[in-house]
Amino acid sequence: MATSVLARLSFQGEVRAGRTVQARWICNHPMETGFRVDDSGQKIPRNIITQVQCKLNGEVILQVTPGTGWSSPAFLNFEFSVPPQGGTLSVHWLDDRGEQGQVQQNLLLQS
Amino acid sequence: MKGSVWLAGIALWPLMCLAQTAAWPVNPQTSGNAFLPPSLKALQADPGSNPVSLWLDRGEMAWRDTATGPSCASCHGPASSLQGAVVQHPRLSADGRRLVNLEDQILACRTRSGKAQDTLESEEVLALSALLHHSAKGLPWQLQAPSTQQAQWQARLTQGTTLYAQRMGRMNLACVHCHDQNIGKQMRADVISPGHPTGFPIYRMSWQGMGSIDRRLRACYSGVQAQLPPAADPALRDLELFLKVRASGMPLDGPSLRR
Amino acid sequence: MSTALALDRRACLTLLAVSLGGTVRAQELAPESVMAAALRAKSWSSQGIHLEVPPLADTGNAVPLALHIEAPPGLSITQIEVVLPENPNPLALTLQWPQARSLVNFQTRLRLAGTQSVWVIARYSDGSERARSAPTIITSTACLDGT
Repeated sequence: MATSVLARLSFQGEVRAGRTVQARWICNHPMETGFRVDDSGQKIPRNIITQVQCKLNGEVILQVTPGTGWSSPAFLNFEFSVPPQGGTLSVHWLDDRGEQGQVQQNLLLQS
Repeated sequence: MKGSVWLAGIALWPLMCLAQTAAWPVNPQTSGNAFLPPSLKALQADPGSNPVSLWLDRGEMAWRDTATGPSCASCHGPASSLQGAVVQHPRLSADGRRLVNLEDQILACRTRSGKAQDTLESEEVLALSALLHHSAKGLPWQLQAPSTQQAQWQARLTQGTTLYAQRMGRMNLACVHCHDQNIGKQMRADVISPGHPTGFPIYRMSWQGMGSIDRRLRACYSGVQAQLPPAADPALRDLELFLKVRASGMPLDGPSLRR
Repeated sequence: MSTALALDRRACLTLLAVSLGGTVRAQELAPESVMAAALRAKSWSSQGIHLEVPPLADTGNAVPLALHIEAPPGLSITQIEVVLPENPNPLALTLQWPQARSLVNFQTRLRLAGTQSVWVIARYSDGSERARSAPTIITSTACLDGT
């Protein structure tokens, strides 16, 4: 697990059962395109996120397959419906090198 | 209901972009944050999507990291306890011969505790600098001559003041020409600010990463097509001291976004 | 007298030719890629798709994209592709919803290699596709940055 690649997951909107809430995910992956050349003239090998899975209580609700046209830091702002029992939203990423990471947030239902 | 809010937001977007052509501040005591376009101001205000947030998280981890030697926390305690020291950098070295800024100090500490491969722009050094500057947010700069080395400190400040007004490069421009005489003027996608150091280290969109004041000053040298001084050049430290004295009383913004 | 008139007419014709040639040359200054031309040539419906990119972006490194897509009645959105035809790898993002949705609100940031139209192609539960594009001009800061 790449320890230097961090991610943050946050919510915007009232977390109530049945409501639509915005999730914001940002991840410090370098998203190295493979087009850059370092100071000695060597091509810097490509290393981008190849897959992002957003899971609500373990079930994939959104899958993103990026190319080199995705910015760094990677940023997603998507909507989901809060299930009646609440639960956990988690975002999992995987990159070219096989490194992976995840971040999750509990959905604390507001009364 | 939600859909119409989104639609309204999307419809207003072009107006927001047009708003960028509104007049920029011209007051010389304005932080660089006031010269950001609405999109970057909004990004800066939202920790959930601001790239700086991840650097702060990284800084927190690095502060407590014991993988390659004692952690910063083991000597210094919480990062917030150093906020007074942050606003006093650059400081004169013990021998009074050169100025040491916060990144130099972080680098020296890390080298001493076994992390010899770092440079001034290493990610961990920048993350720690971001964390420390964030902890000093709102505090004003407090640069003053140490009582036993007043002459040396004054010499450095005088040198910085001279450099600020000295023409250089193929463009034959001095810092004053842009940052005092042409505040608020647009240069392609950028807007000339007074050049205050309150937002460092900066996350620059064109760098797509974090950078120190040392790097930004070097970028200005290349901007006027002057020979780039090497990183940590004494001239850059003298300029930094001048800029912070010039910004006396202005509160720190903490690590900020720039174009 | 007649020579003067002929010269006048010739001068006018020359001016006309130059101005027309000038217009053609201006169009040739920004050739679009084969993919961009192909996307434009396709006759897609764009109803229900709203996308916003800044008309003028400060940098190509992080261009914000906002999407609001409503599926036609009775259908749901299964996949969205974000295509940047002038980029070296034009397929920037593919978004898939295992539980298809009738409404999608989404924001992200893209890397654009240069001025172009950002294309969004939405696929629905019946296999049909709709698309819309929005142009953006990529600018950059003026000062050369040697660091």
